[in-house]
Amino acid sequence: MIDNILKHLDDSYTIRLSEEMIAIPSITGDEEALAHYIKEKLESYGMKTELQYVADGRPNIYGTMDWGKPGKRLNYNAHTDTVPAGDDWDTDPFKAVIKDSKLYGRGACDMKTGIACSLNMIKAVADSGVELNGELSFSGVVDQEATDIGAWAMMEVPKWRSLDGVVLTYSYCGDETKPVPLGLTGKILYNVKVKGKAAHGFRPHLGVNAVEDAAKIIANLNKLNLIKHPNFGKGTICTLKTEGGYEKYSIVIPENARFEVNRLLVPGESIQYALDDMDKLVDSLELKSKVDVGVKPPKYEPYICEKTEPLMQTLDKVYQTVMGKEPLYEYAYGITNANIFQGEQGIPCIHIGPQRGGAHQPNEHVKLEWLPPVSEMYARIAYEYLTQ
Amino acid sequence: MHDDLLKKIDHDYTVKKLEEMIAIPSVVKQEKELAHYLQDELESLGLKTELHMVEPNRPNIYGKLEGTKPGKRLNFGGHMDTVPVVPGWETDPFKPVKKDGNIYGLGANDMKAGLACALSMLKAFVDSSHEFKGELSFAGVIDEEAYGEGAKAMLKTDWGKVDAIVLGEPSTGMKENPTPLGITGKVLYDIYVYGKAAHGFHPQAGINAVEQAGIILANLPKLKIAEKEGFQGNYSTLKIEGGYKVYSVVVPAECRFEVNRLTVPGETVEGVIKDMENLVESLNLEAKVEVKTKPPLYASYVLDKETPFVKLFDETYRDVMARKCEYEYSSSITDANTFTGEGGIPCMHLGPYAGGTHQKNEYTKLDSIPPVTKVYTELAARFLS
Repeated sequence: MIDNILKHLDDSYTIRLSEEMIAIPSITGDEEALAHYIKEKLESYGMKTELQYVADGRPNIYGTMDWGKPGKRLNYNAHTDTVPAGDDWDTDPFKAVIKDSKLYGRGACDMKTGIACSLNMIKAVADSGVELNGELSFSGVVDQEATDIGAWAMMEVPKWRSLDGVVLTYSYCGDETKPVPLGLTGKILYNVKVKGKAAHGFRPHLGVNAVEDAAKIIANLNKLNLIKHPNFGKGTICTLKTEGGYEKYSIVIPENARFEVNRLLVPGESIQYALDDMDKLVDSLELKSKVDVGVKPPKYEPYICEKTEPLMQTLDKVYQTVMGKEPLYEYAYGITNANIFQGEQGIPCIHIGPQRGGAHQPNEHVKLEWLPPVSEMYARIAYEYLTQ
Repeated sequence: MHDDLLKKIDHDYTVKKLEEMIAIPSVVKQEKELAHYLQDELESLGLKTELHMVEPNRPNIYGKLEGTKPGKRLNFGGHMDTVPVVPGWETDPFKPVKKDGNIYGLGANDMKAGLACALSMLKAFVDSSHEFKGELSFAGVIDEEAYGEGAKAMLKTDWGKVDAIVLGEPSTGMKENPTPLGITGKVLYDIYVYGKAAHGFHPQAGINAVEQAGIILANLPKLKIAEKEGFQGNYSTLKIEGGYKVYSVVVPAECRFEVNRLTVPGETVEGVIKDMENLVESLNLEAKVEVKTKPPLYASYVLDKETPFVKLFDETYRDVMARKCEYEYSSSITDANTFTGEGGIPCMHLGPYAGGTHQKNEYTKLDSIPPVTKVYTELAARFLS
């Protein structure tokens, strides 16, 4: 039966769709044209489709297919947006170019070939006439390169919230360049506002210097209580920005200062824990300023997807079959939509896709040799998972 | 007391000049029209004048009367510029309004009243044909409310090579507003911290400039602020900026902050820069740190009460005002930081009684103007006799 599906995989089709999608710019905020393109493709395979407008002109695209048989519901997820092209490209970033067995273009690896491999797989399943249990679906969400409003909106929909598993078609290819995550860190962006008291700058004792109090907190961030996780180790802390003091030169004790700190969370550290931890640190410093510890979006819960999870086991088995070796795994310091699907919603998530090249940089590309095995893995995962 | 001279003071003239000057806006950077007005006035009194273009369209104005014999050189005057208009004025700030014994207007006390007293003193010398030795000069300078460039430029010319200066700043020598015998100096540190960018999820791969700046700021209490009786040296951080402009999870490679430091007599600009450099060095930071300064820089100064000019000022004040002059060590920078702090010229502040300086509804008490003109006149007569 699986052979019947594999027979219908068409790697030239994957390349053609990748080229067509690279020619449809979909920089974050501008995903609509690509969503319509994908919708048309999904419908041509017989999928029921739906556009969910998450913001003006910014739809998520969904497609579902079932054979009237009970079973699990598996979704292949991608984000439709890309980062901006940037400068210093050797070729037109929005015109796919194949050179030395590599496909170049913005979104080549992040992640239009991932989408193309999914579409190739869905078409093969449809063309094969093989009937699977449960439901096979696709989701293309907006805004992953920004604040993930697409994935959050998807989880507002009961149908998607109740999925049994998600295959994130990101460029986690299971080798040393990007091992398969067995879990991802979470993340919080602290937004700390410090309010002191203004006074003439020549008489600092009459005021409370918000910039200096903010600095005392920053200088003591190493006292935050980062919990050591047996697999991840400790999370990380990084101050991203600070501002405070006059706009136009004047000798005034700054009344306000603000800084932002990115913190990666490991399982065992919830967002609430992280907030309490910062509050405790601030309290211990006994500052004269009033300090407001807030958060700014985006925030993500960490998660772990155990190796015993059936979907993860399916991936392990399929990877060995197709790649002839076991995938490398890691507990990764990173954030994907899986933080929302599994971290927030508890839906088991796996990541697998073609190896990345130059993501977020000029001359982004993918090696063509990665496309056939990825399409095959997608097909085998769908078949294994939806016939169990 | 030089009654011949004092009798010739035309107190109405003083107030008239003050009114005319209030009506000529001279917010810092726009001093030119007032400089031309003063030049005309000085020339009509018979002084030799010179406009000194300090910056394009920003002249200082100088003028002098020469005595019959060689002698010491005494300068009166001050800054022509005012602060900008702040909200809340009840009258037009550029229209002099007399009400309840006060005269209102922007610059009414800071320091067009002092300038008017100096003009009036000069007129008394001219009208009385009082004989004196040496030189009696006037200076109106630009930019005191900003970077003090006018005084700095004057000090480099012959007009600045005088033996003593009286600034018409609103210090009355009364308890609530004493005359400074010394003023703190000021250095504005401008500190650049250079780290190394990296992805913000992997901070150990970079050097966080904001966090390194935070360590310096948290250690500022270790600066070695010198002690000087009567003075209060200190520091305060005025501004910080560092990190992304458009949200991105990147270890900041740059951070900059500014710290104002008041210096006391005995502390030099070089010394306090070195002090900050030593502090930074002691912290063994990974980031590269550059300790720079931004203008304005001011030297501190202190005048000994036994300085002949200070003694003469003190006696004259007491004789004319029939009260003791009160003194203080101040932390409000004036052009005296340039003239005395840098130039070593003894400099005393005296002006009419005032209110609302740098605020709305600035005013001068009309009846406090004549005594100041009298002190100026008597002091000049005594110093140049």
